[in-house]
Amino acid sequence: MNQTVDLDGLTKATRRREFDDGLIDFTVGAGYLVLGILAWFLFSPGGVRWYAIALLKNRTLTLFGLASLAVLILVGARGARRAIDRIRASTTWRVSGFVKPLRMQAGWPTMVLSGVVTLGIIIGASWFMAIGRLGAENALRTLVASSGIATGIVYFGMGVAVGLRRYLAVGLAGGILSAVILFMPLSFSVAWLVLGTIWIIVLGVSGAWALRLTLSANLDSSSE
Amino acid sequence: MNDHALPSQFDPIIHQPSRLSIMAVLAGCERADFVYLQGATELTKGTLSKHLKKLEEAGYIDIVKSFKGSYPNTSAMLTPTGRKAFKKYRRQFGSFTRLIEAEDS
Repeated sequence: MNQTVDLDGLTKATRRREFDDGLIDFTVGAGYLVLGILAWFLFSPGGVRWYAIALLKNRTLTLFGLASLAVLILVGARGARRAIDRIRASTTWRVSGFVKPLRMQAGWPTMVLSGVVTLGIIIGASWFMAIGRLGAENALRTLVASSGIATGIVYFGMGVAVGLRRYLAVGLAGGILSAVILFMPLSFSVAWLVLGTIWIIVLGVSGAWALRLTLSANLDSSSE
Repeated sequence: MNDHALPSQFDPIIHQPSRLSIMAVLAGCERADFVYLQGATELTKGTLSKHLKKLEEAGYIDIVKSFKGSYPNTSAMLTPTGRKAFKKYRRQFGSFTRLIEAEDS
């Protein structure tokens, strides 16, 4: 009798629910863009100069400002999460029920793989730099690219784990585009901005696609 | 331990299809409310309540009653024991299915 219960299907559908409406995609994409812009500013020659001058003028206030920025990002992320919960509670989930997602959606194997790939790229770049075949700027750029590739692996793994084809495409597109940064003649700071732009575009498209499907499904069910 | 268990040796609390559906849904989240569980498992309110109670009595789920705004909200979550029991059940069931398929071929 239990053959009639699709265990995998039920579990995966519940795990997918967090990503069904695309709101998380917009949030993560926006987060990447904000980080990209901040890193671009902080690592640009102007930003480094500003930081050095600020440190000389008032070291405590500058460090406090930077720490506040980190806190602000965390508060912003939490605020975005709450906003998503509120939007869902007053729209789609009000009718179809509320689910608190698992903390770890990608699973350990994916996280380990993404960590190993990131480390591999960084160690490889350091080795090439040590033997003089890679400049410092290029080596630093691998840091940026590897974080994008790692994100791509996590999204792909999540797509497999929850049975979401959209995330397979997000993982592939984001990962490959992030890898392109390795071969572009970009400075470290601009590379961060490009990375943020790549992920807001990829996740923005993914989120818009999912939201469109959710809205049309809701319209269909309300017109029935 | 006993991965080649026969269906008669499966955990009877979980093996019942309705409860199995509930456990499968809850395995995919930290917590789900009654409305979602009802939609996902396609059970009636009464049947769902009955099986939730049975799972709670077995120590496999916790039931949390709260308010969302001014509306009462009931949600359920797997306990560590429940998660472990469900994993064991899946392992046993998977192993049993593979055994049957191997015998058929």
